Parts: sequence; C-alpha cells; structure tokens
Amino acid sequence: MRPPETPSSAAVPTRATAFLRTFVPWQLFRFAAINLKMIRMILLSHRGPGRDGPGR
Amino acid sequence: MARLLVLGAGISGHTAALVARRRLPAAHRVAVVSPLETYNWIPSNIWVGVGVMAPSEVLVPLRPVYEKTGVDFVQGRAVELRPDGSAEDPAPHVVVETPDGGRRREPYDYLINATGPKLNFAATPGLGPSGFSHSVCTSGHAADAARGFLECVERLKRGERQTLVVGMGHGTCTCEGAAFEYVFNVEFELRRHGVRDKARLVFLTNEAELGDFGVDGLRFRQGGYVVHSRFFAESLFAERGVERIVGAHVREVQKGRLRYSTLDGGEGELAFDFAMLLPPFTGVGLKAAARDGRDLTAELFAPSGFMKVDADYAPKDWADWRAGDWPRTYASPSRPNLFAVGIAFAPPHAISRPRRAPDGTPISPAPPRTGMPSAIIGRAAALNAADLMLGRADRPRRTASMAELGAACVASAGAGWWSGTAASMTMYPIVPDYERYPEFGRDLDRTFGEIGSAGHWIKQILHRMFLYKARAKPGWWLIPE
Repeated sequence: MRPPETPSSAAVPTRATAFLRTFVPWQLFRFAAINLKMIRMILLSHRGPGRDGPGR
Repeated sequence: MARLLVLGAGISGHTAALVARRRLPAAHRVAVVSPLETYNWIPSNIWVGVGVMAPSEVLVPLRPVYEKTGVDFVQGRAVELRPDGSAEDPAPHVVVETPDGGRRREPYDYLINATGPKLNFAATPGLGPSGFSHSVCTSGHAADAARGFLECVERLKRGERQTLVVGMGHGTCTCEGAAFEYVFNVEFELRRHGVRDKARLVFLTNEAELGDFGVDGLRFRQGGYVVHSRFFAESLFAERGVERIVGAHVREVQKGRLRYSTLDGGEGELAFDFAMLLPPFTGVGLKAAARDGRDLTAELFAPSGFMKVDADYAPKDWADWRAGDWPRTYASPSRPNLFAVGIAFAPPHAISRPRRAPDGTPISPAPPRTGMPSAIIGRAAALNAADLMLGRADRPRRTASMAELGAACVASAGAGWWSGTAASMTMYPIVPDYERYPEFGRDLDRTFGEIGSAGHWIKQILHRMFLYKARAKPGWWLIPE
C-alpha cells in the first residue's frame, strides 16, 4: 500500500491543535494571555528617556 | 509662539499632530497638511478588500477632529521644502499644492514629515489598479479589490475554475504581512462562500522563505524547540492549501497573466483570474531648495525619496549591519527642526538579509515601518518637537529606535467572531540586535506567535480602539500607540 502523497514537508496542526484554535473556552484563556503579552510589549516600547531606556 | 507643521495624516502623522496639540499650550500652533480629507485605518483595509467591511468603516473625516482639538488643517500636497525660506519669504516654509491647483506657503518653526510612501506601481509594467492587478493600500483600492474578488466568487459559484494570486508586485516590496493577511482572508471567504474547492490560490512573495515578513523572520519557542516563523507560516499554507512562490520578482503584469523571475534564476508565468499585488514604495517626491534656489534635495533626502534622519547611512555589507545604525530621534542631521516619521524616514538598510538573483535583480523585502512602530515614532517626534518649542530641551531627547522597540502584530486569517482566526505575534526588538541577543537577535521571552480566534478578537478590538483614538474622542490619549 502506498502512503498518501504529501504536498510539502511543512508541519500541519493535529486535529486537537486545530480544534483548540476556535474552541471558545480555550481561546478566552489565550485572549487574556496574549493581551498580557501585548500590553507588556506596548509598555516596554513606550518607555521614554529618563528611565533605563527601552528594553534594558 | 511657534508653529509645528505636520505633513501627512496617516497613522504616524495623525498621531504626531494629536500628541503635539495635547502637549503644547494653545499659544503654539499645530497644523496638518494632507492631500486627503480622511484618515484611513489601513490595517482594516484587508477586510474591505474581501467585501466584509465598507470603506466608510475604516475612514475618519479629519476636519471635525482637527476643529475639535484645535489643529489647523490644510488640504493639499506638499511639493517643496524651503528650510531656509525663499526670496519671497525668509521664514522656513513648505510649498503646498491645493486641490484647486493653486500654491500656498505654509510656514513652520518645526516640521514633522509624515508623508508616507508613493505607491510605485510604475516599477512593474501593468501593476496596479490602472493596470491589471488590484491593491489594498488605500480604502478605494481595497473597495475595487473587493469588487474584483466578489466577481471571481460569482464565477466560482457558476462552476468556473478560477486562479487567484495574492502577494508582492515587485522584488523590493515591503508589507509582506499585509499580503499574508489578505491571502488568508481570501481563503476564508472562499470557504464561507462554499467555493474553495474550485479555486486555486497562489501566494507570490519576494521573501526568500515564508515567514520572513521583512524582518528577517522571527524565532520563538514552540513544543520544546526554538522554531523559525517559516515553520509557523508554512504550516498555515499547508493547512489551508495555499500554493506559494517564494523569492519572486514580478517582471510584468498583463491581462490575466504575469511573468516573474526568482532568486534561483528561474523564470515563470502565471495565469490568473484575480490578482492583488502590493506595489513597492518610494518617497513622495518632495523637493528641497535653499533660500537662493540651490537644490537641497540630495542633502535632505535619500535617493529613494525618503528623508534622511539620525541613522548611519554609510554603505555596509550585511554582516556589518548593527542595531545602532537605526535612527533614534528621527531628527534631520542637517536641520534640527526637521523630523521624519513612519514610512517617510529613510531606513539605513533593510532588516531582512539582502538577496539578488543571478542576473543581479534585487529580490528581498524592504523594511516595514508601519502600524505600531510608526505611531510610536510619530509620538516620539511630536514630543521632541514640543520639548524644543517649549524650551524644555536643547536637542531631541526622546528615542524610538526600531532596534529598541517591540511590535505586537495581529495578522487576520479570516473574519468571523467564532470561526475566524488570526496569527498573533510579538517581537522584541523589531530590528534584530545580535550584540544584545547573540543567538537569535531577539529576546525569546518577548517574541512569540500563535494562531486562534483570540487573535481575531484582539484584531476586532484594535480596529475599534484605534478608530476611537483617531476620532480624538474622550480619553483618546489613554490608548497607547
């Protein structure tokens, strides 16, 4: 039996990963987590002079 | 009393004008010169371009905002910079062409150039809305693209097979992330219309590999490994069945057909029924002259037409690029009262590794300077100008180097509250700094990417939040750039 042809060597998500991408309870949790990461990034990028400088 | 003049009312210029107006006492004037009467929240043009949002939903009329905030508004196109004045007027000024064809002088004490790019469709024969492809660079272009796309959908519904091409219309384009967003929104809409199986979808890019995004790619932790964003992008392309042509330079677009060459020296042709190909950018062609009429354009502007600022423009090999090459205050080295922000400043070099095809054709992304960094840079320049006007500083002290700024990006991969997704990414810093982060150039604790509905929700919230801010509604200044 021949294996099915694969179009590329790219990784594809498992069924569970694909499901979680639109699974609302999990995404609500990710929403909070991503927002925290982004807020941290925004605060870091808005540091002005007189402090220790961006990213340090 | 001093006058700050801002050229351009895009993301960077509009931010600069509002921030400066809020910072300066009323005795000082802030004025904006823009050829357009509306502000365009460009990131949402992607949704206009697939027909799920109307152009009016991404536009904000400027006059009411500026009347409310006390900013003078001049509709017109800046054509000439006279930093030392002219024979007729010894004060520094900008010559502005008004919509009725007239010319007027706009004086300034401090100037922020935020003119954005000229969309250089002419770089590729047949490229653009006046040729044979679409664009989403303006809300009008995006509305035309939506019409073309929906006609394509109708043909698919009649059972015709169609090929849709999305990507970059030239080897030196920037904003690969926007094309990435658009192709996945097209893919999502094709599925929503129930015609995905009849459509061939091709992504054509000048990136040497997917996931470069003009920032030399990102690396982040995933599943116990440090992976390149190529892994992330290729996975999405494989999952959604989108074909890709990488390292490509479009040589010509004809009706229903395009010719391209690739980094490995290959040549190809692609027949299409719908194409959305972004143009390369150049400066808007602003000229500069001394009081005696001597041409100062080459002194103030790079050959690309973008304005020189406090960057290190010495030609360097890729291996010698440093984070310190990037500008920090965005002040002109020859005129301390001039600043250039957003796309209008001349970057010292690319961020992605430069590459050429065997025949010498450059095929690699130009550095992106849109969105969040563009707004932060506009804010920094406005505060620097305000400090100088108020005598609080004798030189610009606020910095916003792209080698010290991070960026949060949300790339929509389909609109829809419950079924839509987006790729959420943060990177720090935008320009890799291999002296501070020798292994990967960026901080892995602050660089990440993931796909899911949460990203789409964030994108929707950002759309509303930034339009609220652009309208200068109560508390707008609490919303960070």
